[in-house]
Amino acid sequence: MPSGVLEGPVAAMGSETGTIVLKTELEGKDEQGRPVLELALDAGLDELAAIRHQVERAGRALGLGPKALSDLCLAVDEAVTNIVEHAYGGKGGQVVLSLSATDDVVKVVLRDWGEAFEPQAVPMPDVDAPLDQRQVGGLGLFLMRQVMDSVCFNFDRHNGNQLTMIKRREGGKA
Amino acid sequence: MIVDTVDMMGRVPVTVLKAQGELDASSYQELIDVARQAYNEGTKHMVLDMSELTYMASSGLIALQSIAVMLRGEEPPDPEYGWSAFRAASHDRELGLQEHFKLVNPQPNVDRVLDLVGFKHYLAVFDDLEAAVASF
Repeated sequence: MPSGVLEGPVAAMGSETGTIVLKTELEGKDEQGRPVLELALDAGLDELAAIRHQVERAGRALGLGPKALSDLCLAVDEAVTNIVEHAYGGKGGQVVLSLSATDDVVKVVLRDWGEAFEPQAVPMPDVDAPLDQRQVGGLGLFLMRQVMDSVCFNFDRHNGNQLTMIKRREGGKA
Repeated sequence: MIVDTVDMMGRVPVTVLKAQGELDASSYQELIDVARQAYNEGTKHMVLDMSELTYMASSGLIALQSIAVMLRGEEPPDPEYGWSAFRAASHDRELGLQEHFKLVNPQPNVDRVLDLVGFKHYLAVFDDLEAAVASF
């Protein structure tokens, strides 16, 4: 169960596929009364679409425009894919997602308890290279960095991996 | 994601892959598999109709790359071995726009992903399916 100061309804969400072992959504308000979303789930690749749709719905509630919503969903999708594929070795595992916003930025935090991820070990793709000379392995991380203004990884032996991504809101209508 | 195939005739036979829905890490292999089946049945030219593809992640780019490599008559690395398989596939040939694989009508968010990674330098993008088929 995610930590944090949350108020409001707590709804246990079912799964259309039955593959989600734990999927708990908490939507409430932060100290300034802004909506926040937290999801705790056993993430696998089959859950990616559901996660994107949850984030899109929450982002819309936060007042994000279509482009910012699209960017946010892409960044979260790539991040969760990396967690499933790399941190949890393709088997999936628990992920806690938190989404919040201020007047200036939208922030998403993802936590997992898989293998430590070292972004420095992932070579940045050469997007100017010929098609089959590309190192596609870094494309997900590359896209995350392209569409978000800040992408920050932290690994803690006790508290797990934490990825924080921030996107600035343009005139409040990003 | 749903992938349908339609055979069309321009100056040469062309197989159109029509992808509908969302292309992500859970579904990109399906697109590769459909393309491979068409290739094994003799298709040499393919168009991917993206007009009803509402989302594409980096795994979709892997599918596009795999199909392009396949249609050049080369064996794409098995994505099951992970992204690192593609690093092993790199070689030194200079390549321009792919002659056997083209894209049609990507939606704005999909088009943006293609732009961000520079794929449009290597995969021609058409607004119109008939024009894409006629371009081979």
